Amino acid sequence: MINEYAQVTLFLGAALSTGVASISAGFGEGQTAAVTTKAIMRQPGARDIMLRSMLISQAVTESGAIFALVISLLLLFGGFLDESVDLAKAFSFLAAGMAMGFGSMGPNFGSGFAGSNACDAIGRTPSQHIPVTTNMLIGQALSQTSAIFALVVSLLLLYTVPNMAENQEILHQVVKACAYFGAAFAIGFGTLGPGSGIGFIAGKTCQMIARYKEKQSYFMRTMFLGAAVSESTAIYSLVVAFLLIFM
Amino acid sequence: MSEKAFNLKKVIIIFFVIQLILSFFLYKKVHIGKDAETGKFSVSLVTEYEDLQETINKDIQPDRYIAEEKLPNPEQFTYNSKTIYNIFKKWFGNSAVLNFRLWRMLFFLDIFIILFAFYVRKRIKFIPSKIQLLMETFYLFLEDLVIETLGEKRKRFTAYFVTLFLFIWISNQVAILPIPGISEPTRNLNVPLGLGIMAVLVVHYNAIKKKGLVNYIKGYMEPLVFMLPLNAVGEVSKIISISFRLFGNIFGGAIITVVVSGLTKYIIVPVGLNLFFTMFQGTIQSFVFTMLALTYLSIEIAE
Repeated sequence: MINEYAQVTLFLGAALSTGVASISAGFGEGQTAAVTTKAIMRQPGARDIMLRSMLISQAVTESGAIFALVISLLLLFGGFLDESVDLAKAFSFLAAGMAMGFGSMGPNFGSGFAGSNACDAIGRTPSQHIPVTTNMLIGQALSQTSAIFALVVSLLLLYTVPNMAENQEILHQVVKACAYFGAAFAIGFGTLGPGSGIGFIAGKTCQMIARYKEKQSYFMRTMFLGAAVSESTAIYSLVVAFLLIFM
Repeated sequence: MSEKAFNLKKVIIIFFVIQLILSFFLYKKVHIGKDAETGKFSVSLVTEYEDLQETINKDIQPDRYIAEEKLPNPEQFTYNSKTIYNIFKKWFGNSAVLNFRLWRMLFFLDIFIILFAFYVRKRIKFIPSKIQLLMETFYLFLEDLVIETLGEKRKRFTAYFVTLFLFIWISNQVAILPIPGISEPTRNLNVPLGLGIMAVLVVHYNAIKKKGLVNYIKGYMEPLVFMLPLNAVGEVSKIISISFRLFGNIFGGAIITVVVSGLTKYIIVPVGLNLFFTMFQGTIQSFVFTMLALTYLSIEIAE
């Protein structure tokens, strides 16, 4: 009886994870491609360099969507369908999908912004493509740290929640299910701001490095400082999600 | 430049043609190693009839595969290398069964990297050969990055970062070989986690060495004393972010390749997926890992 509920939540979770994450990943990659096209029109001589940077940035932007796809495929093929589970575990499937889906939205958008700004900067000064691409990779990696927090929360929801809790009272089960939902909301919406914010920082830093090459280490240090401060809110939501899962 | 690009293209094309030819034998895979019945070394095509769930369990979740008792004995799972398997089991107990594949891959890779390093070192000449030129270009590229971020005095860190990059890169590229039993070690969470812990430990060791213990601890109490736990969580989150990024990308590529090639009966599609996930994404992710380790270090010790 309960198992059929579990199937419903599992399929919903798998759909939500990839579906929601793909929105911003596709948007970010498209933005990068659009900016690159414009930049190539401006400087057709540096076409190869720009195409390469565009592909690299899109591949890194995509990794948030890949994390979401991993969670979806683990939900579908991870063998959870065969097990008999209680209400709380059933809702933890949906929570895992939601955490990853909403959690990779901001980071994907931010990475897309960083990539598009980097491609724009390379389009203006193609001779600086190596420092700009390096900085873009680091910035995108920083912005995707919050997506990785969401991945960790999803994996914890999938693998540490017991199939059958000791307390099988219906009220206790509902409370537990709400706690898992709360964890998903905390990490899902908590990473929306930091992910896109760090993307803005990285994008502007790429622009600045292309303009003033000699100040590169100064810009990068500022970027790290800003990213660390911006990321602290994602860490707060990670802590809250851990507390909700394990308390 | 054009010569080098041409050679790389040739290697890629040869790999994919081999894979394409193999993929046309439906349900067949190349088996290299001891034959189960005769005990002799052999290379043969093995026919496999498996449903999708079973393939995924075998590739991604070996513990579940063994737990479902699809195999009479788990030793068969380790592709019949019984002697080494027995030694491992004697030393480390039954749990070694699950990690046997990982350990074997790590062992092969370490041997390969060490032999490759000796090979390159032995053939160093004043007029470089092609392989020496490639390695020198690569080394100088990373050395320039290290000098740019850490300063001229700390050039000695280059060797560490080159090793880190080469190890991760070669482990990511291994998955191109279409041989069952060969998988990326980085697919298993233990390897990226170990690498990430190592990278962060290097950072903290050098930070303590440079600042002194008291100043190092004071650094955690900025801007206020009660921020100490949150700063500590931030340090742990460095390990999580650096290792789960590599793990998520490689594991994602592996699981997507397995699922899609299972759905399409191993025709053509795995080639394209390998091109993106193994060659492209694997290279980028190993570079990102190296760069992040470098920048974590540069935050603490750069002048």
